Amino acid sequence: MIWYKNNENDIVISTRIRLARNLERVPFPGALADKADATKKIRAALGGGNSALSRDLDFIDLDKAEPEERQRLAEEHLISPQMLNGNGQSVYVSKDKTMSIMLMEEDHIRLQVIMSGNTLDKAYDLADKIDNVIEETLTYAFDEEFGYLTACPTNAGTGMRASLMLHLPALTLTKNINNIIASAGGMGIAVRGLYGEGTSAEGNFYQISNQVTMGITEKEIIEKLKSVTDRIIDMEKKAREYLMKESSAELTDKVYRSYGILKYARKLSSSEAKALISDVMLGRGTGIIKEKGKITPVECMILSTPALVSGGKRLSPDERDKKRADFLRENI
Amino acid sequence: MLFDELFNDFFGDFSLFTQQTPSYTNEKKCPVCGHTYSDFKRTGKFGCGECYRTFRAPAAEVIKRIHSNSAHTGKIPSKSGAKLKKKRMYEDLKKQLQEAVKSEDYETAAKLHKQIREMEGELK
Repeated sequence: MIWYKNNENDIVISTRIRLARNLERVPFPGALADKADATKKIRAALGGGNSALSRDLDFIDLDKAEPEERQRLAEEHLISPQMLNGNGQSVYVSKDKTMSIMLMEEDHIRLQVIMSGNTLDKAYDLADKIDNVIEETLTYAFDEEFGYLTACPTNAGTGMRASLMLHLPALTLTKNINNIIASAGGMGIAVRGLYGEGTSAEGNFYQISNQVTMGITEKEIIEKLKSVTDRIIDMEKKAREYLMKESSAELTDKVYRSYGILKYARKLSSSEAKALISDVMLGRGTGIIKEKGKITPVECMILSTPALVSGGKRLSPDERDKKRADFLRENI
Repeated sequence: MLFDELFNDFFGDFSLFTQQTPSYTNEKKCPVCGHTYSDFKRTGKFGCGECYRTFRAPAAEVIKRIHSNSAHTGKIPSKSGAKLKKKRMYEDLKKQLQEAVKSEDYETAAKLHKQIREMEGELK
């Protein structure tokens, strides 16, 4: 199931597990002149034989992909934003887009599992299984003391980044979010913008993930992230209750204004659309907006990002904004 | 005696200040990728897995600064980590043995003892 399809969640939108792995005795991509050879090795391991895994995966050579296709993959969170302008990189994507295996990013292999909702255990189990399958054929760079060896020592050890996409409009509106970011940071949990490091929290969407990867097991990382997330969910719910109690008229006005714009506007930019969709999600979550659209707000948000809304065509920003407004009017 | 101890302590503390912070200016090159430690310091990234072994001491220091820990406790790959897997199993058996002895379950203890003996042979 594609993580954003029929996604009804309004606080924990999606779960992502990413494992960084490298080949033994092969320079990391950043220090590797011939990426094609290492890619070939990994491809042979993944596509070799008639395994169930290889049948489920589509291979995309990003050097040969149109910029629009790269952009689409980034918008669907199947490649990292760093891969938009790279060279010698490629990606395997599973048919249901749950799994993507990025090759020659910062590390030789970045195995990612992305799922709808709060499903850390399930996502890790799948990533772990695929990791074992890959390792049957390849020998990973691993050290008894340091664990899985990665280009950046911030990933060494488990090589795992577990993250959740959170939608926190009430905590943002009540200005509690900065305190939460600071206190999560003190517990080794990072809170960042929607597309990860260095990106903004457009539409009140945040990524929460583990910072520490060494001296802690995968299960411990997941448990820690779960407990911090549970507290944040609880606080977001309380902030929503507070808003409903203390400024119900203002909140109702705000979410219906946004709903109205989405229902009638003829031109919408990507960041405006995200902010409006966030309001509608808050409206639905608090029961203010009862009306349901053709597809869920999460799906609307992803499908109205620049490349996806253009449907593979190269449109001018102006044409795109019109198309986005048409799409949202129809579907929200 | 007490005086001596105090004196030793004094020198012990003093040595903290005189001890030179290790410098990594010797340009040792990684045999696999050719990177030096100053390459790492410049970019923040290692050139390959072997760099971690070539520059083990400073790498451990950096890792400890980032993660407050420099020893991996998570997943072990079946191939490159086969020996480590055995070591962890060995440690685990030793713990189980201690518990069995504590609870006076000598039958289990004897079995565990035998397993530990066998593993010691394999680990050598």
